[in-house]
Amino acid sequence: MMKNMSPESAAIERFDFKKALKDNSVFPALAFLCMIVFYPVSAILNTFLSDTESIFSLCAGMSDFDNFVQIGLVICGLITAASSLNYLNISKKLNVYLSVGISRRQMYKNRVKAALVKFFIISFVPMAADFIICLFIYGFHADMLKACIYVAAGGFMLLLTGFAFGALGAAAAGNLGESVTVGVLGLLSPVMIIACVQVLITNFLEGSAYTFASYSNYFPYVFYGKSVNLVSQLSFLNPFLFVDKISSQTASYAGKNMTRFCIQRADANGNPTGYEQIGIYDILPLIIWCVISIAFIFAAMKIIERKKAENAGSFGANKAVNILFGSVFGFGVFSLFSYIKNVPVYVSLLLGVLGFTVVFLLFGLIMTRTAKTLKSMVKFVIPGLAVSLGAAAVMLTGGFGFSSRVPEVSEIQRAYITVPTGDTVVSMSNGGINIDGVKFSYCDESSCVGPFTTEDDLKTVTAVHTALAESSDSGEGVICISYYLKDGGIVNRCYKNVSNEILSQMTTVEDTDYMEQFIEDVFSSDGSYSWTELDKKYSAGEISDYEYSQISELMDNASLSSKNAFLCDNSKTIVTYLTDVLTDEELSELYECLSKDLVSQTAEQRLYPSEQPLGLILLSDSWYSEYDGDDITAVNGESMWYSADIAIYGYMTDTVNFLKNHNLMGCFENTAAVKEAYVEKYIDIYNSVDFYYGATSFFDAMFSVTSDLADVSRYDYDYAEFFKGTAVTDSEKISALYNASYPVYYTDFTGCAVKFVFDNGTISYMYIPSDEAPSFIG
Amino acid sequence: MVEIKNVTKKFGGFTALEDISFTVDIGSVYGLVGYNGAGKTTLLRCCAGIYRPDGGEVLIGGHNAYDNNVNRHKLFFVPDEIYYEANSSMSDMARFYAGYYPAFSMEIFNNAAELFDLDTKKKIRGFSKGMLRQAEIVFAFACRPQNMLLDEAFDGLDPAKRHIVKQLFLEYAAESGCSMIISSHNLQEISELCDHIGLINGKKLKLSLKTSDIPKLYKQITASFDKEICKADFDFPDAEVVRIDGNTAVVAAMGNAPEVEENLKALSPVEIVSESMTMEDVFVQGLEKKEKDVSKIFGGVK
Repeated sequence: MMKNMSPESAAIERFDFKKALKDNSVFPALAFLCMIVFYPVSAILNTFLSDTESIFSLCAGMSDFDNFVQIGLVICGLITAASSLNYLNISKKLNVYLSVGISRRQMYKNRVKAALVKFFIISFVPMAADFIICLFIYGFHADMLKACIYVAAGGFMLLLTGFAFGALGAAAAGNLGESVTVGVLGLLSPVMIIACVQVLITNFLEGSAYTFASYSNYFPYVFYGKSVNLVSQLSFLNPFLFVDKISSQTASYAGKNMTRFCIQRADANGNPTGYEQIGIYDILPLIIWCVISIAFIFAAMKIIERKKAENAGSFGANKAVNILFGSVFGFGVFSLFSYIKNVPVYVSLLLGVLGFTVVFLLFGLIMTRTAKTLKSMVKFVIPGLAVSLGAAAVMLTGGFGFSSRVPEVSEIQRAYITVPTGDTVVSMSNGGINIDGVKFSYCDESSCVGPFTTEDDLKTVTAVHTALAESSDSGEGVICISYYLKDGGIVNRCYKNVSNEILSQMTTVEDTDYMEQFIEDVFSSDGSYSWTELDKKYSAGEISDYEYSQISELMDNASLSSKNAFLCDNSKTIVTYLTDVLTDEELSELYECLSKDLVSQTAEQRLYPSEQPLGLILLSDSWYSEYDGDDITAVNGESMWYSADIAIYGYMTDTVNFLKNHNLMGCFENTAAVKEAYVEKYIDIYNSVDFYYGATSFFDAMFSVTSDLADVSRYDYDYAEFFKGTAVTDSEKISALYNASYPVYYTDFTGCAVKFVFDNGTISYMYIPSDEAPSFIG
Repeated sequence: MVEIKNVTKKFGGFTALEDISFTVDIGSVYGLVGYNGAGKTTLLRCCAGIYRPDGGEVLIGGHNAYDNNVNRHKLFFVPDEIYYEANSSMSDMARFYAGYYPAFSMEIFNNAAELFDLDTKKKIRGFSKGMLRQAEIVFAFACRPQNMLLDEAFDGLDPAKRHIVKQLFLEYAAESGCSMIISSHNLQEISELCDHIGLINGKKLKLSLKTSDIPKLYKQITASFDKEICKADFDFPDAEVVRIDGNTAVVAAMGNAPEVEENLKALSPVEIVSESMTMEDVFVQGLEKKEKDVSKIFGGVK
């Protein structure tokens, strides 16, 4: 092109480019300084002032710092575009710039070229300096060079992406404010759209696992602290964050040995899976955004060439912008209406359509400020609405088979599933209060159990999943399933509104090889693992996240067997400290017996016993010297956090024989007589107390509350707050209640809680299932 | 040379200019007059290549003015709103214009600035409106354009500076052969400065002619008769009855005075007196179709 130009035109172009290079350099200069501090300076500081083995980043390992750098670079790119192209949107400036001897295209191209030069300096010069410094410190290593190039390229692409959106904003807008706003909205739009899609998926797509935070134990331990989130999963589509871990994770492990360079990987659920070298997976988002940015920059050029200069200085003149963002906001409102519950879906959709239209037109009115111009926009509400309704329709019809997909057993490597009863077989910390008056139902603390790996177990899990996918009944339960497939894929499903019928099938999950193994592991653990050792191994990378989760789970439960054991009579009063009467060897033998009996026991027998237990064995894992008033059970003035109350029935022959052989069966006999009884419907207890704090803490799912004879007053004080109960005075009725009550039973809302006061002063709370309740309870 | 050919410009549904055509020859100074909002600035921006005409074209030295870098460095546009870069002095802006106008003369810049007593080192943001206008005119001459477009060129200038500016324009046009289009409301200055004049009204170019032709073609003719006369008696081309006092009619000849005079003579007046119209007379007579009674504005207020 230059060779066809007159010397005057060539001189003007050179001048214009130099001017573009010189102007609007404040933000790029600041970004450059920051990058110098973040990378080469930090490399020096890391080396001499700390023992961090990092080639850069003062804040190595801090993901927030990554986000700060990423967002900062994008904003810098955006501001560079907005400021260098502001001549398009400032009337006075436009009069001069568009009348001088250079075409719009060439003037724009000069500003793009100048920005590219600045961005190259901002991103590559600091990394080059960093590399040279690290050469002196660590010597040459190819991976180190790759790290530097990757980070520099990532920084460059973030700047370019910000610039591309800014250029498009400047081209489409009428004034500077609108230019920046359009750029920022453009940058946010992908996230906004993805978030809205996620909202629709969450509310309309049966089986979707999105937004279920693992804090509530929906998913395996390795999920803990993360939610399954479409926005995170599609972060490569987020123009702010597509360069994953630009500094902290990239370099924090690129230490002196350079053996573990360089990127922390995560699976589809966001769980770290280890460190690997940079590969196409890391470069692909850069390539994608490079293509998008170039397309945007080219589109901006075309728009600028046709841009009506007369619109400079006023906003809202670009109809396409108004329609686009009106539709995005409309889609946002449309998706939010999907949260409305207790109304038919079509009502949600109708409200969504109304919301979309109102927001679209309101946005249009703000932008155009005239009813006439707004009128011309009305017809454009239709495409956005059609897309929104189409998306909703896809979700509501099962997302092209998403809702009904159940992996074949042969595909699955391991599976996890939440069960309402959790692992209550050995831990009382799970479970909760049922919702709907039947035996199985969901509660907030439902636990994820697994991994299920044997063919039989996987058949059991997939059978439950199939039932969930095919069920058309509705209830209150929530069941989440997570499959790790042999091909490396992950299938997560969460079913809401699960019917009680399905929930009641879930006892099958507890009668599995996994649960048998789990019980055996808990009772046979030799305590060889310690948290300190585990953490050391984990930090050193000797065990994977998955192994870590498995071991730590085991340790949680194994600790039950190594600390404290108590024997209770069937009034749930602690009568014997087993640690006082049994040696360590004898205790181990007892645990072995318990293990065998619990493995043989079915979930139905454990959760819904049809016979009264002989007594209970209470296991506790922790002792605390200070009582803080919130703990479950007070024992000898101290308190326990975790405990498992194991009801001993006559059919548990190994345990019964052990106790007989050690003359402990007598401890099960409750010699005290019931003096008083108080009855209260369980639903009333549930409704009268704060669920989270009260009910689950004091009357947990298995309704096993153990009292210590030595500390009855505190025990009574703790529970009296939540149990008001109607006194039953008739001795026959008291006897009937006592005979129908179970010390350990999986609770539901149809049953009753009964407080018994014995003549020796002991107090016990027990549970009567509805079908066994004496008729006088009503 | 600036050629404006059938230029039409619309803003949305509103037509600002319709089918405007005229040519400004080399060395010619063309005065553009019209009401506020008549479209003068729009036309100048079309000529400067800022606005794209919806119809027709503007040729600068034979090349389309819109988004074309050929010959555009030979055109300088002095807009009504003066632009200067933040915190810049005239010297800074001189470097700016020197970059975009290869013919820029620092000597002319310094001489012209001195002529206007402008401090080229002083920040422009401290300039008055008149000084800004002078500065812009200094830049315009320093760029040595072959085509110059000036929007409200005399706006804010004191009489002394107006005089200097007029002289400069005439001198530069004669010296360099620069084609100039000057829009202004100051008809006196336009008539003194421009060799051609165009009048825009109602989105159209109502008249476009040589300034020297105005006295010949535009006259106010007073004709006295010895008989009763009425307005209908003077219904012939290019004649507009200004008033009738008894047997005397005052008629404005708008564009073809000799023919109007002939037509009047044919009515056998007792006496006929012709007086050449000024530019202002032409403007008022040509645009104001009916006299506006300003007395009503304040008359009713007590």
